[in-house]
Amino acid sequence: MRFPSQAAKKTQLEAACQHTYDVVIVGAGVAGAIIGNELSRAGKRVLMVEAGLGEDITVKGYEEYLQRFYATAVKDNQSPYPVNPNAPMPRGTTVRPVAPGQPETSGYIVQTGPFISDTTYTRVLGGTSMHWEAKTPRMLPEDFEMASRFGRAADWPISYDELEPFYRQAEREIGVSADVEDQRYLDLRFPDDYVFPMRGLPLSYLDRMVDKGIRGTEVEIDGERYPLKVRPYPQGRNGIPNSEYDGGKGYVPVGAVSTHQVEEGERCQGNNNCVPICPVQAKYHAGKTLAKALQTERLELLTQAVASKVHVDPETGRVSHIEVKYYEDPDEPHFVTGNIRGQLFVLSAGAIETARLLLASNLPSTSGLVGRNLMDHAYLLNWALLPEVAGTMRGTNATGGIVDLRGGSFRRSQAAFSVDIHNDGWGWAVGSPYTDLLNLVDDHNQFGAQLRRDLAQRISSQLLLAFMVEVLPNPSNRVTVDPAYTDALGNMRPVVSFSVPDYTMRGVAYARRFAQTVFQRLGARDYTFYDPTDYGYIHYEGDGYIIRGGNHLAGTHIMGTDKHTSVVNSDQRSWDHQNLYLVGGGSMPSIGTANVTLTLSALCFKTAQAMLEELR
Amino acid sequence: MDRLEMFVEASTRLTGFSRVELFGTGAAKEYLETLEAVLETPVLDTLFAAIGDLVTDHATEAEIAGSILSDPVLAPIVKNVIVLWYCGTWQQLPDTWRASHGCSPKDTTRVVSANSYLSGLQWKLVGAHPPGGDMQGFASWSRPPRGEER
Repeated sequence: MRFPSQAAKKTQLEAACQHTYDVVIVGAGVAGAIIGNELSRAGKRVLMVEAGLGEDITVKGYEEYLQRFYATAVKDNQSPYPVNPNAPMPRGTTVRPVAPGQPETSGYIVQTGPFISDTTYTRVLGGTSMHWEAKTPRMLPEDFEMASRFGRAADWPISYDELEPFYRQAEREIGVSADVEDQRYLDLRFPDDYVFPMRGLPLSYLDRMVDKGIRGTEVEIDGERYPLKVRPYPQGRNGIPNSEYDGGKGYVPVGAVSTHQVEEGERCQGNNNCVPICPVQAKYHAGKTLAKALQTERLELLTQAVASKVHVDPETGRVSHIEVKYYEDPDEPHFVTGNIRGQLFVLSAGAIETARLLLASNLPSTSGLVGRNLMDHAYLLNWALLPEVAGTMRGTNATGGIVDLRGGSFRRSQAAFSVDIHNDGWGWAVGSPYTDLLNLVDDHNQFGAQLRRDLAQRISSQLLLAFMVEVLPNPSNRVTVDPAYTDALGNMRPVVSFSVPDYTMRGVAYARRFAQTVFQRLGARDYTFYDPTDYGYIHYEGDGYIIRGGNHLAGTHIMGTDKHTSVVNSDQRSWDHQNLYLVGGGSMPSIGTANVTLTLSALCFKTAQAMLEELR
Repeated sequence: MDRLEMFVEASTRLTGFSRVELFGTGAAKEYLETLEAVLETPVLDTLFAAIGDLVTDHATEAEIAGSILSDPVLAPIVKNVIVLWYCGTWQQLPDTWRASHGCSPKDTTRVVSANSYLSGLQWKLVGAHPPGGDMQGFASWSRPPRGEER
């Protein structure tokens, strides 16, 4: 699909300031793109404001991302994307341990602890969907009823069944590859005739080896038995279209999008590089939705414009305009200010940036919950060597996992989790295969034929189980701002304070034992080691663990049924500002054990519907 | 035998890969130039004198282990050459080495080029490919690996 050529020209600030748009959207990630596309296709005039450069709109820009990735020594989530002091982003590689009481200020996010996270999000066109892994599990029906079923957190203001049609819309937009028969578990319900747009991606050879070792075995928690197996994940990347989709109409995958026609990306090619960038764009990113929106010629894109303040009419409580700082050169702090006007405003800058912008704007909040209840999945990594060659290092990053413990009565007392089998080996945990190579060459003086043999053996039998552990909302886990910490343009940086709840740590401790059980059943040798000097190290009930961030940021403007206990309603409309919608992971009152993108996309389809009614 | 030939010939013994495989990466010249850029002339001359001996004497693995890989000046360089071929990254030489033999501004830990990353031998070794390059095609991951490790 092509970005229309006029999109490459981009809207200029002066032009944008002369109009009153139907809708102004801040942040060109997946949430903003879905709303922008729905509204512009319905005839509304939309301006999308993006802090980043918007480079990837051209073939050349996307190719530069790729070349930057290839040539960078540390290939972290942000490695393909340009450093931009005017729209800075957090980066896992800059995080350092800090002394108690000292803030961690070396990265963009100021962290006051006690837990220091390496979580990231990306401030470029397409947002974090540029480097998301694109696993798209739905939340479980029970995830929407945490309070009534488990006495934990709060119930959502909407049920699974109410969100279900919007899940289907999101699965169409993202282009999900999965087979319904694999996804009917733990009461996940689909209409009888539903099929996903594309057939499920096949499990990796590694997945099947793990499955062979655990299938037919069980674990017992809280008096209930859970049979184990490896199940394929639904994926937001292109596979083989299902001809039965949409009542037999089928589905046409969206490949690479660009200002020039590029014939690639209509099927995953096994680059095993979903994070941090899919070279062929077989993986969904928000640019695909933006391209459709731009084709309407009713959506304009203003890039290099950092939303800096939301202005509210004190009499009506309605947002009057959003002040943006527009820069020409990312390396120069020079900017001009403009005021963007519209009927309705959408903040879709991600859970941390949306909260940061609201707090920096010093807006009144009835609930006082803006920035609070920050959530992110806690990842616990476990790694081992299988007794035989498993073909590791091939695939998409994760094709299968163990998901039977996503739900169950044990959630009254401990966190649920899902387990990813990583097709890229121990890379996330210890930097394999680079570190394996250095270990053999530098520490063991290996070379020649023996190095070749030993390295091959070491790499191709690696198994990494990544446990994505549930984190519940806690008002003291929060984003704030502080004028002492600003970026190059003078915008206040987010200040995050986070502590991993005991409920999560009970799940983490169980996850560690569960991993040991799985390794034992596989005859795998456990190499897991949690270094006490690591910034993510947490001591819990006599044992130590390293917790990694999940980049599944949520909860900073939670939705609910009451303006005193929530920030937005179930349409993601601000209780305090009638024409302001706060959308994305921040609206989620809990996150269960599902990667957040599919659910927040579904919520945005619901929001788009509500906004259209409002504008009618 | 010119320097490039000597360098690749010695590299076959160090990496366990053949001359054809090493030239096939397209990175041989770039790696030699990396050495020439980082090392000062006396060290470079010592290195190539030692390499010349190895290559002309058809040294065994034991002899290589006993010579350049035991030499305090040459061993860190030779190890770096092995790592270069396997993953395309030049590692900064150890501090103690730099203190005695020079700190070139080019001696930083870095991927030499996009091509050097893509041509790393560590991926070929296990029937895989560098993430983001030399993709193997849809569903390739579900088949048994065709590396040489079994």
